[in-house]
Amino acid sequence: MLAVGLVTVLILSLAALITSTLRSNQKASMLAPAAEVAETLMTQEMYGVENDLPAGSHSAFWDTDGIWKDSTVVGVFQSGGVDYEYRMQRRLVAGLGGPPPNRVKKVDLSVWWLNTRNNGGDRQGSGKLELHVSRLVNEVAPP
Amino acid sequence: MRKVSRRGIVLIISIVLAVVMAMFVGAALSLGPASLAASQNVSRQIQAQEAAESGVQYALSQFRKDPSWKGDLNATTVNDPDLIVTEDNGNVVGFVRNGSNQWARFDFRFNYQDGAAGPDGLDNPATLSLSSPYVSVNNLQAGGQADVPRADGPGFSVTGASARPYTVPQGAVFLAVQGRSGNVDPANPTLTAGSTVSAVEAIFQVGDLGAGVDSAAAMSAQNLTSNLSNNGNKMTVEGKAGRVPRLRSRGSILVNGGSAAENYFSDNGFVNTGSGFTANYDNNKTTAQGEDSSKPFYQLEWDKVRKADAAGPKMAAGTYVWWQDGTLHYYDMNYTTYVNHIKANPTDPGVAAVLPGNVVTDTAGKKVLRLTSSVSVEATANSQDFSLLTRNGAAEDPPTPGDDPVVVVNSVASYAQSHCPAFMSSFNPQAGSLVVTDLANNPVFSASWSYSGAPSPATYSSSVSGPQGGDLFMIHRFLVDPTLYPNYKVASSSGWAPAGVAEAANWAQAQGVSVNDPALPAKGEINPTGVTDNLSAADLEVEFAGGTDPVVLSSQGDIYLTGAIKGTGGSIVSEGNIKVVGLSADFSANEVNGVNLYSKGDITFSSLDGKGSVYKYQDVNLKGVVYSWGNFNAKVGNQQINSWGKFDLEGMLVAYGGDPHGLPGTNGKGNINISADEIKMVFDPSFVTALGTTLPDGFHFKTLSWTSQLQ
Repeated sequence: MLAVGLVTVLILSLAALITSTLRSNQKASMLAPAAEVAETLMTQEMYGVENDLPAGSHSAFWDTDGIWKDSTVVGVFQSGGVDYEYRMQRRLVAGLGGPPPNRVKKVDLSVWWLNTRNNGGDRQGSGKLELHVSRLVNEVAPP
Repeated sequence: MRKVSRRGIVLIISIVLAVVMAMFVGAALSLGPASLAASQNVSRQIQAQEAAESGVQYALSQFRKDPSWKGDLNATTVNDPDLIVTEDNGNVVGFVRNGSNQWARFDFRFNYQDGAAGPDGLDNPATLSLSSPYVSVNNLQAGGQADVPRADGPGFSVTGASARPYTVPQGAVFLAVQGRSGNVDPANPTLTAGSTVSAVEAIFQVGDLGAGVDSAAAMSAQNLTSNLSNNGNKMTVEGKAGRVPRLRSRGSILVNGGSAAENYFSDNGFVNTGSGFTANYDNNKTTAQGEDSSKPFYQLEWDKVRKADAAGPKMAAGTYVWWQDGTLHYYDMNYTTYVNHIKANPTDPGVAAVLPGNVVTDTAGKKVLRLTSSVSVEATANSQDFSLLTRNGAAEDPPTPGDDPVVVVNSVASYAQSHCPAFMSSFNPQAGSLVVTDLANNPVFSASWSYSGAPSPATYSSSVSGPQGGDLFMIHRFLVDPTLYPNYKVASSSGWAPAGVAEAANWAQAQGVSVNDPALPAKGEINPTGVTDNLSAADLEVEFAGGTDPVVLSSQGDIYLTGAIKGTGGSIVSEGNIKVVGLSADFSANEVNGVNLYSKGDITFSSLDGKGSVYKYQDVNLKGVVYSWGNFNAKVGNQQINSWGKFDLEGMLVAYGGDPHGLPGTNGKGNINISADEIKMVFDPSFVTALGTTLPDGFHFKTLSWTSQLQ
């Protein structure tokens, strides 16, 4: 009996270990797409600002600081069948660039798995998927 | 058969399970950290990429403020809680903190790290030496392309033997930026080991003329007129590297002459005018449309124009004259005063020209005035202009009827009839005829004229005919001095003598009529009496030889140059007019005048080359920005003498017609007139960086190349 019990415990432990490993691998495999998501979001948003798409985007971006886009307002970003939430903020960099149209801002983008922002990107059993990137942008960027 | 023990079976199963579990545990233990490392690596990679991108953006923002910038502010230029950038003699290191409190960094270098005397013009960094072979090159203000070196020498220095795998075009910048993530510490800027590295190499060039400005190869505040020869050629307008080919005029654009089928060609081009476009063109290729007067021209204001440092090398204003023996003579007087003075005192040698150390003469071949760095013209008590010429002067125009009332029988009479009737009464003869043949008695031309009546009203008639009857220039020359045409002779004449023509001119001049001396057939020629000096515009050259550094010749007064202009990255800047006579006078067709011109007055080119009585226009190939507050005139051909050169401008031409602080055309000028066999204009805004101290507001950097890789 003791042996059977021991075997059962071992099998359950093994299952848990395998599950954990698979989730860890899943997280790693999803981080690369998340990086692409971050790149896409950054490029897409900055393109819209530079080309004033939709109209008013350019001035809206450059004339104030703070949150620029938040998925809680504009909706999640979906890529590869996975939903991501994100937040993009911008801040004018003092001492760099000049008056309009030569301003420079620092843009901070954070990407999380959907519904994990409040947990710091931590999904139960899957660990954290939280990606933060920052970039400087010129008011008139290279086309 | 022996029965197997149950305990034995359990033992065996347990052992097998233990082994399998050990394998799984081992695999999990090895996969776990690997997965963690992989996820960390992906995160670092993108942060390193964004850091490199931030470095590029930082550099571009600095170029906007100062096109000569090369990371040499030698200070911490940004010191925010989440952004710190430091420049140290051409090396730049920046730290960017992201939303999870992680730092990434970018770094790039213009410094060759080869000591103070190296070609980069930078001393070694005080603290921020970079162990990177990638060197950035600012070539925004140079007139030619530059090599991009690798720092493969000792201590990551650039040496003369270093590899130079790329070149960067003129008016462009090459940036090689490395972004790093992981093991980054703003408190330790020399730490670079243990990071994930992403590198960006990119070339940027000025793409346009700023926000709201419809870029164009030429902008005229009044009218743009092209006079082509009758050789069937055309005017062509292009945009370099995909830029829109366009002409803009607040008035009209008119193309005269050239091909009857198509004298204007611009593929996918636009012609914007305020009052019409007249040319023979294919409207499937070129779109003519109205000029929106609310859209600005390119505004290059005086205080943003690069000038020679007033505290730097200077030349005295006045007139500098090359003599045939290779000596350069100086006269402390403006051009007009000099001409009158030297006519009265033909052999006056003036004084030997005193030049600053950066201006040298070279008489080994041509008579060359070479500027190795910028120089300003300093006004004297008598002069504020700068003129450079030969003793005989140089012909800006051939003699034409419009310039000289005594050029042709019928025109002088018509002119006199309308302007000075008394002149007609003294014209002797009041009637006459002339028949000219060649030495074989073949007719060349015949002329007859008659005049009757009192000075007012008066009647006049004349005729000129014969095979050469349309060649008024030749006829004029013959009338002034038949010895210029040894192959022609006067077959018969009545009431005509060369002296009579000269007398008439002298009389008209005494009456206050502005006429040229009939002995001086070409405007601009001086020909001092008794002086034998064979130098012409073709023998002179002004060379800008600053290497990759821009060289500026600036003056408070007019600048009048004779001869060709050579070199790259040179600029001529004047608060008065600029005139270049004999431009390209001895250039081959593929040689280029690399020069930018900025004038508060008019800008005039003439490529006329005159030797003796022979006048000929040369081709003009010009690369640069030509910017005038007044009119622009390019004289590269003339119907009267039927001599033509080609006009080729790569860059941009603006006749603003006023101070660019205001609207175009406020001073009533802004005309563009070009006479040439054919005209080609290619819009390329990259030259604006050589002329201005800043870049246009709101302009785009055009990305010529971009390479990004993880290292």
